[in-house]
Amino acid sequence: MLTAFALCGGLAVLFAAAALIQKTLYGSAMCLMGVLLEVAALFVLVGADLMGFIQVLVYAGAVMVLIVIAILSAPPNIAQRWTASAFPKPAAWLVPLAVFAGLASAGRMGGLEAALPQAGAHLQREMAGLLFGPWALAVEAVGLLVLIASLAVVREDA
Amino acid sequence: MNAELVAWAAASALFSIGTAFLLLRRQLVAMVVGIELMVNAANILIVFHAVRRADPQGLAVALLALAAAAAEVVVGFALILSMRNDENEAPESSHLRELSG
Repeated sequence: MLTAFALCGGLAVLFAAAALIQKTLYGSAMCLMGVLLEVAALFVLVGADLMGFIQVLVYAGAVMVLIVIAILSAPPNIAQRWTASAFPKPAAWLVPLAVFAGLASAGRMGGLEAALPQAGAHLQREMAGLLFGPWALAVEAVGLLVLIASLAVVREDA
Repeated sequence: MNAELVAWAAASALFSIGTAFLLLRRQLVAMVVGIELMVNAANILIVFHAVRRADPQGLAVALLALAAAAAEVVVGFALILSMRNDENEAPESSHLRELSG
């Protein structure tokens, strides 16, 4: 279990370092996706399955789409420069393979119950009760923030 | 080696790399990527310790932080896309010199 946890953490750091040394923004974005998926695997490993699921949906899904769209919406000459991959193609296959290895180890080995005896579904039930109970105002505030953020995307002349 | 050590090591390495992104890269998109790395590093520790202490409040904070970070990314990219006036210039931090309201 601990090995899987260390593997996912190490892969996340490796992907982050690869993102930093990438010459192209597109390469950095793809490495960031690797980091986000490995962080989701870490969440699953500690027993916070719901957080891992939301991490994949929100970060590795929605935010990554936004980043790729922002890169591709640059003027053609700049977008071409940003998207020309710095990875040699055979080496680029290592990225999805490493992500798959991390996620598979998370799914196969389960949570870190031995190290974290209190991890479990009841914690997530309590969290849901908290969010829809005493913390409802905070949830509403964050929802309002997301709404305002989505309004920021609308152009003035639209 | 225990799980806490691994969590702290991974989170601190991710946070350091995120800081390096902010300091070394000038493209605004890359700077947002760096901020995302830092947010994720913080989330790893929040979730790890929340589960370890069986504290649902920690998980709730991590969830709200995740939503707030997603909103921050949306606003960041809206700003990046709106500041691109010159067709031949990439959005870089050095272009942001003044505020107007």
